[in-house]
Amino acid sequence: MRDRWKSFLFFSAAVVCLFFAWLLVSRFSGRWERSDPSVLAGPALSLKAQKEELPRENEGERESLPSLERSETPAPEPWVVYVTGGVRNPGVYRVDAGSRVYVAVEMAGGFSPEGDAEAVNLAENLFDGRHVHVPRKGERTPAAGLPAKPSPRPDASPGSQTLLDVNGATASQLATLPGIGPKLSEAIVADRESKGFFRSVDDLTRVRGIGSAKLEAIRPFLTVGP
Amino acid sequence: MTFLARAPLLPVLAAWSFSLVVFDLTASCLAALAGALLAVVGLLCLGGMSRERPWPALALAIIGLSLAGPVLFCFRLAAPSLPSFVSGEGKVLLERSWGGRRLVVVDVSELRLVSFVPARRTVAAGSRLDLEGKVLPLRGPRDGETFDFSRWARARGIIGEFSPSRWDLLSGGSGWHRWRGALEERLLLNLPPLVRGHLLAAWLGLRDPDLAESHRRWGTAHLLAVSGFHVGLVAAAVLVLTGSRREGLVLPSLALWAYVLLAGAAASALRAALMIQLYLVGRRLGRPGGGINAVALAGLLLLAWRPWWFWDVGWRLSMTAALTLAALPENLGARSFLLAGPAVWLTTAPLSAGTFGAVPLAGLVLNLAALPLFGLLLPLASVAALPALWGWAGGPIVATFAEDLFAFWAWAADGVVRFVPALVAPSALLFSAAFFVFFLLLFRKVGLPSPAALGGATSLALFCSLLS
Repeated sequence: MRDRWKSFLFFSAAVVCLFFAWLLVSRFSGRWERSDPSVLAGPALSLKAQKEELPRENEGERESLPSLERSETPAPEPWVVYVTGGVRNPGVYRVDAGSRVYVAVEMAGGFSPEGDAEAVNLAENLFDGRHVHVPRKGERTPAAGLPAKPSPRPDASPGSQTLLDVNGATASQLATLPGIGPKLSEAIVADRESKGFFRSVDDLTRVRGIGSAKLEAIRPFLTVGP
Repeated sequence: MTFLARAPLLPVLAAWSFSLVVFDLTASCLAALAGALLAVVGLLCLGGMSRERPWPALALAIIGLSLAGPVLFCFRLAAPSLPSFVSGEGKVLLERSWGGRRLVVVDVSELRLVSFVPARRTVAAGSRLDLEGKVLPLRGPRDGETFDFSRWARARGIIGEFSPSRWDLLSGGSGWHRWRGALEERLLLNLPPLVRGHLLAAWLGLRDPDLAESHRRWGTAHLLAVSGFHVGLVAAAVLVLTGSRREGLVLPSLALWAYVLLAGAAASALRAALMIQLYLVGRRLGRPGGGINAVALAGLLLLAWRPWWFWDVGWRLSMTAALTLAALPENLGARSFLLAGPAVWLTTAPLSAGTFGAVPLAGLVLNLAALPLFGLLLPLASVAALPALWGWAGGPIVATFAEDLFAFWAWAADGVVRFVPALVAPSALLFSAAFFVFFLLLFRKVGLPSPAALGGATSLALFCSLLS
């Protein structure tokens, strides 16, 4: 009887601990006041959008922000690409959406001994349904070698095979882009030199004069190098 | 033997883990301490329901150790101080694909930094570079994503992102990295697809996308992640080869850690290697420890080293699976080998479903056979691949034999998936069932009487389901 009573007490104590533990994580968000949680603590998941604007000294606190939200957007469908020519295993492959040419070449087993690695822009963007042809050494190909019969990309103008590296391009090269004049191209270079390299093409919007419409117009022609 | 004597580190692991959950939500060291205290006291109270003599001194020591965790985490999780600019010679430690770019980890000026470069600028692991550029803080999760890159990076010792303005190659890959690269190349060029994919995963920790997709469909994706299963196979092989001598510690330990390094030192591999190392030391001293305690100790050591492991899916899956296996009843004999797969499938289902969206029900059936079968297939394929890797005449024919075995497995597994096509989505029922089975197995294993184990498992399953 005494043992049963003792067990009951211990179990009750354990349940009380669990209850307080649940209370701690569900009700306490870094402070007890009845007000909205601060940007640095608590389940303030919507504040993630502001993280990029936090100053650097808050980086550690940014790390401690919760990441409990689940993505509700379905994963993008994989792209199907056809790889032929100087690769070890030519064929049809599925690649992750957003992949570059090198991913397709790697999936096809890499370059065969006769494949011409210099004739392919491995960093070029892929898109669904693309035919990637890797020229063999000595094979006559169109510029950049890819693709042999160009697959029209919906969002790019025909013939736009060579991408411009926004972190390496000169002002005169940038000025060849649609909608970018000499003044704006110099502003891009000046911004790059003063604020550092662009992390993505989207970063170009930090340059005064480049809005979302202009960005979309030049996006197909750009890539971002280190 | 009391609950405390069987697994004294289990409450500590629970306390440390819960304190990290609390710290993540509140960013408060005090709250983390309170969380650790509640977790450890709660579990000790459950342990107190056993009818055996309490050990107050041990209980106090466990509480003290549990509270040391949050204190340590508050210091370790603080933001690192970063220079704004670095320049000098750096060594590439890791190079891998990352979306459409390549991720390169470099050690430069005593800092471990990560850089994302286009494929044409990438360099092999082990290369030396002359570097110069800006150092930026690590990126957190993007909107709508649960993956937090900064935690992934911090768990691997990376403290900042490097934006190079100079990136000149001084010398190519060398040493260990060169050997690893050469082995990868030989595997890729000399073996048929299924053997190649499985050995790339088992030997080097690399995933073939098509094979990974197949295993995900079969619910056996864990076979492609280097885990206790693989590390255990290597350790068993070394022990068999060295005659299983009791004094044999150095050779198996060296082989163990060499394999873990070769396989990329993932969280699951590190956890398993630590556990097996503890077992080897215990065996050498004539005091082999309990399984649950060994898993808990390995987990605690990893958390103390880098607390960011706690948010690593690999660490969580590995710990859950290992604790489940260690908690299986001993009196089942050979049946426990058959039960292991389905039990691990169920207890890891919430994590897998939460990460990948849904888990195939067929995995429940396939895992009955997968562990014992791959326990034979992988060593067999490893041996069968050697002649082809060395370029011996007839090597490809021998490798084809292993390819046929893998193909037979794939055919059978596809058949089971066609027969049981259902997917189990994350749900309250799945979470509750998984947590209940997990805690019930653990509590029974550590010697709690049935009513206490049932009550404790029900309460904790409810608690964890609410948290999830």
